[in-house]
Amino acid sequence: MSPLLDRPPFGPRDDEALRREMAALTHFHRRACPPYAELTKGLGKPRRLEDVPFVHVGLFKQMELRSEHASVRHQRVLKSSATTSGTSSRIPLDDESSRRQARSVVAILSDFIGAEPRPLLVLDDPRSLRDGGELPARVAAALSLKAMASDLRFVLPPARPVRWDAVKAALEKSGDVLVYGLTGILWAGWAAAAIPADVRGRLAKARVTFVHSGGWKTLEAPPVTRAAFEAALLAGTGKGSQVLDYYGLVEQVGIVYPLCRADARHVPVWADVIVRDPLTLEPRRGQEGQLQLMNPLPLGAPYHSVLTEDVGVRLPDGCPCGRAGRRFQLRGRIPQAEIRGCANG
Amino acid sequence: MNENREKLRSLLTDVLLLGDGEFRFDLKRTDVDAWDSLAVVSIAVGVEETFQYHMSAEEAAAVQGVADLMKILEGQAIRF
Repeated sequence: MSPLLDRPPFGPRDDEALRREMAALTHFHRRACPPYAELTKGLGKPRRLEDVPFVHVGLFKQMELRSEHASVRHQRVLKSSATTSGTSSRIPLDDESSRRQARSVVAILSDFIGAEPRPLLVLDDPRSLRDGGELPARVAAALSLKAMASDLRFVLPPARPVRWDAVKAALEKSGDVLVYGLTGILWAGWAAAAIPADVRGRLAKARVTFVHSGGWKTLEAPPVTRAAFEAALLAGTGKGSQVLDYYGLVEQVGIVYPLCRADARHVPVWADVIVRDPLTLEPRRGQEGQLQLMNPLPLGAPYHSVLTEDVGVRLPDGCPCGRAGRRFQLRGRIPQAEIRGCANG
Repeated sequence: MNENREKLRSLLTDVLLLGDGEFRFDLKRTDVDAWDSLAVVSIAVGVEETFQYHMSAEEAAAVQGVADLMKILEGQAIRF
């Protein structure tokens, strides 16, 4: 277990401790995953976080990298949503990493929405859980909230409206609920839906926390602003209701970057974000560039440091929202990157 | 096999990644590698979809085999 996970997620950073963990994990994956060893051949021990070798996220679409070791017990395969080329990333999950990743997500999100368990309503198809040993990334994102849930319901059957009867049943048990969906699904299935009057009555008295992730591509025609999106979700909900947007990648499962009220995405102390020049891949400071994400959690495959197709900029440490530590803004995707329905800020 | 037995067999075969002929009504959680925490959630969600009964988190976690699941459903007047 990474000792950094014992720290407050947005407290003082210890980047030397993170570098040591990343160097040790890089060494582990070089021994446990021969293709990764080949890819990183000739690269020395990372002396700075910027030196930690990265794997381009596209590689996970072309091959299934997997680290084999006596301490690693592989489970299912996590699969990203289909891209314009029709290919998906495939990330092998394992027991120990899953435990670390669940703990990480709970610690990060609790800082934004509180830790008290409450019923979780997932706007997704219940059959997504039965995909022959593969787990779609959006379902994994929903299940990462499970540790914060006292109860769980998948409430969006395929090609049908939200099961408002199930929503009402959850609201009858608790006046404090979590609702998770991909951004586009939450808009179409909830914000723009006709909610039955009896459910509206319950929602008006409830504290509803909407959590969403994924891009806004499906909300571009006609365009929906973030303010309109949040206003539509919160309309008619009770006191203390809120909306939380986070950025995350299937290739960095376990790390989410929530958006604060100051329009910044926050990086927990056990992760880092490095901005690189898209042409030279040299680190850039204070400028927009291609994002490299890293964390010391995964043992089952070398996805501990990945170069994304997303563009962003690091912001000065210290945020008006009160959180310390690293933060960044997401600005979009690199030109000609495949549209996968995520990460366009 | 009655209709509910077939529905349950189909659900658990899917969730537990069982091959043809591997399902038994006396299967226990310890018999199946894939009966992990994700399978517990998947079974609970699948039961609601298939039998319209919402299992609580405690009920789902307490299921140690197919027989336990059938007992819970029989308590909801679902006959096997």
